[in-house]
Amino acid sequence: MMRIKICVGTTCHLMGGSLLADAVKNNRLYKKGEIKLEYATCFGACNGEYLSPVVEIDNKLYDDMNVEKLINLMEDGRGDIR
Amino acid sequence: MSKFVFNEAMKLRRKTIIEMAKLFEKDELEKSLAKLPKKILGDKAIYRSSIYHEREILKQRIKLYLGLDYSKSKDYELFEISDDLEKILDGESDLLSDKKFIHIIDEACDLCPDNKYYITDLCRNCVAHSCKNVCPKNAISMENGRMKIDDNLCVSCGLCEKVCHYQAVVKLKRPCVSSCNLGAIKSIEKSPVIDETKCVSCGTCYKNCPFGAIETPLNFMQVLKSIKKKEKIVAIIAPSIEAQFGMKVSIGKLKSAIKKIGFDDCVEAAIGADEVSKEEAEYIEKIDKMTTTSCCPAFVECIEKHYPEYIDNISPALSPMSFLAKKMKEKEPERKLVFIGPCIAKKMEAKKYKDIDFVMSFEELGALFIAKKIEPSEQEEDNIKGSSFGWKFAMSGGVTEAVKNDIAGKKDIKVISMNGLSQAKSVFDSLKNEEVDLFEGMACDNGCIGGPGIIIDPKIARAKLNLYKK
Repeated sequence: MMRIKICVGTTCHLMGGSLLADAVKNNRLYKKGEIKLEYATCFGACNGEYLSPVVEIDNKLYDDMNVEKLINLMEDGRGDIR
Repeated sequence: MSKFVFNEAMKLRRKTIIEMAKLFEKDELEKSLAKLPKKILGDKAIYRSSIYHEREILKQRIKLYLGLDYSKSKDYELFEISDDLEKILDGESDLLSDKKFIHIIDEACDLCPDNKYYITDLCRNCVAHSCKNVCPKNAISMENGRMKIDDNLCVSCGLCEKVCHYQAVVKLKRPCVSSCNLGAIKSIEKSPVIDETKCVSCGTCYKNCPFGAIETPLNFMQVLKSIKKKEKIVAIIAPSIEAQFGMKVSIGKLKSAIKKIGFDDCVEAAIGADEVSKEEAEYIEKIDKMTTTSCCPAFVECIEKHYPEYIDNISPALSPMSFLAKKMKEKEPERKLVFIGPCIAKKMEAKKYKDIDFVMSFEELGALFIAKKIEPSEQEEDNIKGSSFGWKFAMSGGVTEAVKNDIAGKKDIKVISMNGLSQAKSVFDSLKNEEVDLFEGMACDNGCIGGPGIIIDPKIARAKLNLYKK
């Protein structure tokens, strides 16, 4: 089971994070119950080296996230796409 | 229902205004303003072929974000602007934008081809060559196994497009020109020009320019300055703020968060909407002719500029924003009023009635939250005072619902509605053969929840508003 935690803090929300939850909910793996979706208010990461929006997947942080990258990560777990 | 698409141009705008607000809070904006384009864009071009071009464009954008007029300020460098920053943020600079609310940044405009025809590789080099034969100017000839149009000869008559069975001929259009429902953008000369006699400041071109070349002057920096000076300042929130900051942020929490920024109070425009719908219901009950709604300033402007025969039909009621602002200014004239909504045309309305001092978008509000390190989801619930009818003014159909509720049992009213300016022509045409009592006009598709300054897809906002109990 993949655990996806999406930051819903204001910075991430404004930088496109608002679209990520829908991307998870519309994914076939989520519908099959293979992905668990959670929300976090802030990982406290985007003030330094990370760019918002930030998403945590299985305890690892991914930054500068967008819908396309998130779908890739859900489908084949490809992590380092930057 | 039009889909909300988040794009890179929006992302860059948000990144920039967040940075500006953060720097201002740290008292560092004046000294870092000139370096801001470099700080945000770095050294590698992402969007254009040259980083210097990108920085030049961002420089022009930053001036608009400070509230300046593009044509008045375009020749100023940022270091010159930072010398005058105090004056600009106090609203005392001559460079501030006061009449125009939509500006086309020439440096950012890519001069998209307009009203030209182009033959794509769908051309099968057929035997018939109908395109070549139909062309009255002999502008089409064969090149590398495909038909090609000579732009110098082509007069854009479009006959070739009509005769091709493979849809190989396409008409190229400028997104700003083709998206404008009122024909207010001309591109006779090279760069597009806004025809102020036709523009209603709806913001459709601003939403549709793929190069982000169309911007609106912002007010968030003046608001931050006013808060820093500890002036009495009150926020009026548009009903369309519902759902804009995510599902975890209720209106009650948002109101607390807004007060925490430094506003003395946060007032719901929905309260004004409740009063306005009552006033409109009473007026319609008495009067025998059609009444149009007056809450959407772009719609009112559209009647005044494009359908002046209906000027007498505009409801005498003020918009919820102006109604509230007038009452509040009468009570305490020294308080500054900020309207927070998704709308560009409200800036025009604010200038007209002079009660609202600043107009901010939801994006700008977000930048303020970030700069002040406030998470709306973590705030306490405040009371909500507006009725569900008032809150539903935010979406198309909402004003009708409210007026119908207020007039129920007194008069049966027939309603016509315009959901977006794209329907303007057909709806105004149908008025000629239809007898209606109320005409609900919304310039944006979906109503305010589809406005140019939204953060959330209108379908989410509509779903959330529909949960409001009657």
